[in-house]
Amino acid sequence: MKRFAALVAAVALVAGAMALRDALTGDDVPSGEQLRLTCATELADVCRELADGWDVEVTIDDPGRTSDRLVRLGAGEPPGFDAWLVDGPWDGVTADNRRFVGDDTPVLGEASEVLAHSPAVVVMFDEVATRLGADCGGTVGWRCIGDAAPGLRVGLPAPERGDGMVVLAAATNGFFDGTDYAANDFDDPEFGAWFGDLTSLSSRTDLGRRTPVQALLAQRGLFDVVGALEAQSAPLLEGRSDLQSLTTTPAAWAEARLVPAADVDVEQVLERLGGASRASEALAGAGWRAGAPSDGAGLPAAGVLQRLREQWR
Amino acid sequence: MRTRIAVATVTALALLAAACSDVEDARDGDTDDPRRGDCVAVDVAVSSEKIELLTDLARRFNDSDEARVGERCVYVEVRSQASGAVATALAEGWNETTDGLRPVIWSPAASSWGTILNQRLAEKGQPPMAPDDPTPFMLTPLVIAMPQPMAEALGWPDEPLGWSDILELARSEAGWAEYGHPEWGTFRLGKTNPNFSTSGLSALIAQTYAATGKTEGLSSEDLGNPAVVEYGRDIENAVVHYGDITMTFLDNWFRADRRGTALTYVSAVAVEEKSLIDYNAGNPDGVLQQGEEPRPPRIPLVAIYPEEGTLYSDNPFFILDADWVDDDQRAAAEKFQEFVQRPENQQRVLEFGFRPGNPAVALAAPISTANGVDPDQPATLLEVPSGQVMIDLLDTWAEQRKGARVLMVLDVSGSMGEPADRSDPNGPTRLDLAKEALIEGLGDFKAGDLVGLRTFTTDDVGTPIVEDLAPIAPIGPNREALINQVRSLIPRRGTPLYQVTQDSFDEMVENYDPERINAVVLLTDGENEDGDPSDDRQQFERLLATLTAGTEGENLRPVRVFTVAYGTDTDPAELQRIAEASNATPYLATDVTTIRKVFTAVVSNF
Repeated sequence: MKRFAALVAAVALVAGAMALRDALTGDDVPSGEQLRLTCATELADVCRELADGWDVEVTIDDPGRTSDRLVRLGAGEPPGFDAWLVDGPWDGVTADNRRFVGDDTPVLGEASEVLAHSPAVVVMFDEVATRLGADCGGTVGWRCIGDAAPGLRVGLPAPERGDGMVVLAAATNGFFDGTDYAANDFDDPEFGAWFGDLTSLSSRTDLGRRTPVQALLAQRGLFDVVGALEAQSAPLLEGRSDLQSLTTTPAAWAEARLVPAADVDVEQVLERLGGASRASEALAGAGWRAGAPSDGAGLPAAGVLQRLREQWR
Repeated sequence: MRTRIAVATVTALALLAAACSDVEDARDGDTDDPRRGDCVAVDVAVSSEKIELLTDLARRFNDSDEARVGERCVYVEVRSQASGAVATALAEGWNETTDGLRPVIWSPAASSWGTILNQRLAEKGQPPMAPDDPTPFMLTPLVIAMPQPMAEALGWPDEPLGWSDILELARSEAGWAEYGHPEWGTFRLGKTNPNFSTSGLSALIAQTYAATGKTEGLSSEDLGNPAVVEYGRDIENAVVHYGDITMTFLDNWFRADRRGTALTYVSAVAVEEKSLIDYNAGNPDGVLQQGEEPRPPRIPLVAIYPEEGTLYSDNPFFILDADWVDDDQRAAAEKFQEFVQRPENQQRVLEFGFRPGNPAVALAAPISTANGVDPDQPATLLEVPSGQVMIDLLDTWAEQRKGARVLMVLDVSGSMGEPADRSDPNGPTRLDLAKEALIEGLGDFKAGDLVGLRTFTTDDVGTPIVEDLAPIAPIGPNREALINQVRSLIPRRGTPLYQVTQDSFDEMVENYDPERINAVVLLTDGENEDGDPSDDRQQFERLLATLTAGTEGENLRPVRVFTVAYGTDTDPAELQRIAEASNATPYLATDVTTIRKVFTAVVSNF
């Protein structure tokens, strides 16, 4: 019994010393090991740029899929990455989902500050904008767009993607004229019918690797109006005079943040990527706006976002 | 950081394990649920209203030092199972395949279920399983919930109200017009099926006591008293429909409230006080799903504590006297029971809208007048009748309950000919299972109920084929013929779901019988498929509009469309919208092998 106790004590001392040392140095990711960075699909180019020339292994995946995998992790199971670059509150969605399946143990740590942001926008050809403007009493908004569907062909990215989540939230904001809604409001038959009309074409159309805004331009006639992030659509609209992009009100914003694995210091990860400013510059180069939106992201609570994903399914 | 510590710790512990092999962790057993391990497993079957609370308490208990019996850990696992269903399952010997793991503790909503169980066992010559004098875990009285304006029209809160007032309204042809509100129409009562629901059973007992003028000693002879019979029949005639849980009424009521039509759905529902508190808090079914927030109703409900007396749902803990409960399990169950009775855990009871079972814990919010309830009530408690009397009461109710007029509408499209179990291509088909469930369900109707059977499919070009195999007629003399018709069904082609539902609903409205519960039961395994998808959206919206219009107005003729989504190829959300548009209930039989149980729940509405 005494030997047993002594052995346990020795293990505890060794482990404690190592913990203390790591806490002092903040070196959560061993410097000799490659940094494992998972990126939301729509941030793939940004991540590749960040990884270029640095010791970083990049994995690209839809954030919804990554989130669902994280929800299924058991207590103590590692997430399989050191950090996750996302363009929405996927860490909040993940934590909320884990709580609802009865597991409060965190798999993610505290995220970085917002590195960049981009609003959800509506993109359409001029003639559609003119027609829709007349139908909508002068101001095109998501409520009116949904009311015109399915006659009006609407293209939306799936909410498994970050852009899809934010666009869908923007659309829902438009229906409820704000962000003060909860999942039980989705039981309203009027909302159900409107949502079904808005999403029916998108949910059954397989675009492959294309975004709806790319499909709007490359497959004329498939959609009349699409939702996207400004960062995605601006490069495609550059130099074109036949297209319009507008930010609807109430607006919804995608916020790009770096989310570390639990017990990993996000500042150390940013250092391994060349610093927060380098990440922000890469995002700016991809059409994102600097910093955080002035009035917040304009998104409902994490649980509500999850229910929007389920509503789409 | 974690990686290096983990490596060092694992290495050391591996050495430790090798050196100290006599130390075992009892939780490392190899079981389906890793949390159970080799612990003493205590399975607890609880009624639905306390699942969230008891799951939380079980988790706290399992994580505590109390969760041990001798050297072994204890693992308490809680499952929601309807009180009546468990009573039946225990009386019939409990089938783990269909009923789940055998419980060590059974906590129905009321101890009357234990009395019923023991009575049923006694009739079979078997010993009782539910101990006498169980300790109440928490309490909630049966009340009559009524929208505040309606209660005020009757004199609430100044006038004591009760079943006699309900009876007077039920008998009145003028309905609410007698109280200056013709726009509310006739009086409509919501009550659940007493064979399944504690509220339904308590309401039946309470109204019967009221009919006799007694508060104790209800006898089988009382049930045969013509005045008592008439009283019961007149109360039941005001019922809009039954059901297996009160949540159905509360959810429908809440939706109607959002539409501004709460006062024309029902006038009163017999529910537990706790459910009324939940409703007024904006959480009508008592469970907040992910992303949901409470939305207080426009018109709150108030609790009428019947002046003739009422009963408590006392939520007992029965540690079952069953041959599958060993000494360790019994000891573990007693520890859990003691744990939940502690004042700090009984405080949690209050948070969920129940009154504490531990008398040392004082009543507090939300049991308050601000929430439509009265902590100083009930003033009169009724004695729970004997087991034999309750059995006799249920038998009497089966004859007295409001008659039904139901059109069964059954999908016989080609997909119904697919195997129910895809891994067993030679096994029964979906239609085979549906037929058996339907035949069994037909046995739950009383002889005077009017039941018809319609099938629907399409021909090769999508033209709907609708066949009335049996017109709506008294099932008593037609039961065998109806069963034979069901047995003869074969799968055909497409699924003209919208048109058939519309037509069936319209016909039922046209021939509406105010003396009966009028309903359509629609079972389908697919989506609308009538050869012309171009008008599907218009058809569906028109159907919903028709169903919704049928629920509104003072002279409404409510025909409810209960839907059963059978298998995985349906659109459950669409079927839910159809059911809810008519203030009915959607049912899911995604796993087709559950269709018998699902159909039993469907028929409980009649």
